[in-house]
Amino acid sequence: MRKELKYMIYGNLTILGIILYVTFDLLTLAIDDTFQDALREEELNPPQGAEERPMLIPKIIHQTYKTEEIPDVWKEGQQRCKDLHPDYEYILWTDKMSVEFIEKEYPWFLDTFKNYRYPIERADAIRYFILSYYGGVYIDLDDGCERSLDRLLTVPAFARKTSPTGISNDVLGSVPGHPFFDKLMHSLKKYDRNWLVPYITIMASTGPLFVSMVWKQYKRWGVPKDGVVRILQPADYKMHANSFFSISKGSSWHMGDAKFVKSLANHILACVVAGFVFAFFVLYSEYCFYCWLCSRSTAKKSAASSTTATIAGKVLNFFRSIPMCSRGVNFDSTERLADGQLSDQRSSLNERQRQNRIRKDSNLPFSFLLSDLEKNDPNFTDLSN
Amino acid sequence: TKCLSILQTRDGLEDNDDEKTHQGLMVLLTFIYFSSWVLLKPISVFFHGEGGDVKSYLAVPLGSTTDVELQSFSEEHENTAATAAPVGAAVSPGGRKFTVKYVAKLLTLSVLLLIPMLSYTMAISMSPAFDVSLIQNTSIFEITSLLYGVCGLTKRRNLLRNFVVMMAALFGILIVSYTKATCDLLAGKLSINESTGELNDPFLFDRLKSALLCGLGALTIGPFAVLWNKWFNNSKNITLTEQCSHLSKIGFTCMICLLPLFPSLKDAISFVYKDQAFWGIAISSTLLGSLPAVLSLLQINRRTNAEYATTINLGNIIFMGISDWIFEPKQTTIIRWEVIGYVILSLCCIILSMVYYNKKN
Repeated sequence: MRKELKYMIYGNLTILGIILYVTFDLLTLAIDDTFQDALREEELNPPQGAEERPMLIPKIIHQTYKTEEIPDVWKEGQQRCKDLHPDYEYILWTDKMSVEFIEKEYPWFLDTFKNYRYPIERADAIRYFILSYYGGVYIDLDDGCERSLDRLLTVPAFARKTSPTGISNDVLGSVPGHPFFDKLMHSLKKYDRNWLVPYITIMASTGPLFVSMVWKQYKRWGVPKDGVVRILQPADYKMHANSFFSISKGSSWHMGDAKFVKSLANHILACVVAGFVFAFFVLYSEYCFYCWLCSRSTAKKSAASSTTATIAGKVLNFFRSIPMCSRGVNFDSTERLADGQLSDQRSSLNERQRQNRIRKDSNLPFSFLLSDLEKNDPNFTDLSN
Repeated sequence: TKCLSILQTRDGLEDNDDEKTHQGLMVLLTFIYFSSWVLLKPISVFFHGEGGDVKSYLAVPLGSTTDVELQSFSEEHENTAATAAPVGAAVSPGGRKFTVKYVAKLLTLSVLLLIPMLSYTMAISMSPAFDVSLIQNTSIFEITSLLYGVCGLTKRRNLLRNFVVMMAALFGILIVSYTKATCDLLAGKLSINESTGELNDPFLFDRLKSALLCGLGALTIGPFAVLWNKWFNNSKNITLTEQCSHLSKIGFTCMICLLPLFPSLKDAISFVYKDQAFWGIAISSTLLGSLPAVLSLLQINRRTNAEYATTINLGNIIFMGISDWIFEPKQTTIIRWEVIGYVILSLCCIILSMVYYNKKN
């Protein structure tokens, strides 16, 4: 195998390995297993007379906003949550309260928290800390309540399934100190990367994609006892008779890039085709480059060999022009004429061999010296003169 | 593809939520496809001009090199001796000995063929026929073009020009795939949720999964094509009958590989057991579609250079678009950019066909 090809194969395998390592959690999301831990119908809507299950999650509702001045579009939903849950504690976390909370309870995270590029990342991150610390239910302001959340409090933790795969972070619930939320908190620093596109950066560093990837990791190595995160299915989440929530206009942090990324879903086939075309472009470019390298090294070799042959020929001719040396080369001092002829014959033989070599390199048919000798070709065997 | 898609998405099956039914159909259709390959050998007998019938010929040893550049004097001598030895000994095309090496080759090719076929039938149960056809042919075109070059089955001349034409063809495919979604939206096959601006498509993830599955699964066709050309298409002395015999054995091996799956899918198979329409469509699509396609591909591979066959995949995409338009005239909306995509693709396909076309001696 050529050296160039070896290096290219090693290079490609290394790049492939790195890509696989970086995107492994993302790839695992291709297997959608949210239904395995789904909150079942009999748990959410038990038949009359069924035994009451104990509530594990504390009766606290958390919401976040920059200030206490909430936009009108979300006020109705917020009020409905308060009205449906008079016995719940309600906390609206403003930016100021969030920083103070992190500063006091989780100082090791303060720098990362303050240095987030987008405010929505802080709003995402704070919910994992407050749920881990206080427990309760976190609800996004654009998610209005439609029915009592009591049935959701009977499990240690819950999140909702998102489309097309994974879980979202707009509605979360947990007991204080739940291992999944601990893992979320401690993974935030590691996932704090800039992916250049704001939408992807937010989604992958603190948003639903981050939560989904950490959830996959959490499940991969075995869930601790009573540590399972139950999943609220889309029909139980919104737009159905027994749904817990209703949605008003949200996604306030979405910019132009978010719309573009979302529009890609409309052209999912084109996205896959684009991936294949890009991979082909890269690999075929490498192949062209490899061919170019090979042709270059072959050209160099042939140029070097022809230069060597020319120099050697000149040196040989120089020595041949000196009689002593000529005799010395032929090892015969008596038959100068015959010797000269033999030398000429050998020289022409060498020339023929050289030409044959060139012809061999160019894939044209060539003759072998041995077969010529066997045929008693006078050019090679007749030394009578 | 269209017929198989119809079989996977008929009304009776759509109502059936059991995923096992689709899995059963997937295995069954793959089995039917490979079972048709058993007929390849008898059919090849009709091609008398190609030496399809039994005749005296000098069999080329499996694994022998035909690469003139690499042949040394001694190899040349050995080959001469090898070809001289069995003169007068009529070898039946099917009479090749079942050596361990030969069985290993058949098994390797069978596995390489089984993966794309299974992923194809699985994808077709989740996505429209056009989508599956497009991604599968794109994937096969790319991997075969690349591997034929890397493995030295093509001439390394005008590489850059060919690369530019190939990229233009792929760009045409990309335009077609992008505008297809727009056309589906315009035709009412897909709709957008006005309040959220997102696509109202509950099967979005399925379509993504099927496209990835089919595209990645089809990649093993690349090694299959390379190995086929190196092992069973390396000499003009190999007859069509002999090649069909190999394919029949490969088909048979694939059928055997699928057999262990049948007991667990017996419910699905019993579901279509008495369905005459199912068997009618399945058998006719296999006999009138798949079988002639395999035979013609075999012939093209025999008569022309390996790279020429890659243009068939581009042609497949064009004809799939045409068949979609013919079979669903009322549900098809065509926009300007889709036509431009097809024009680019067609032109590139013609250029590549002309560039690659080179009859074997």
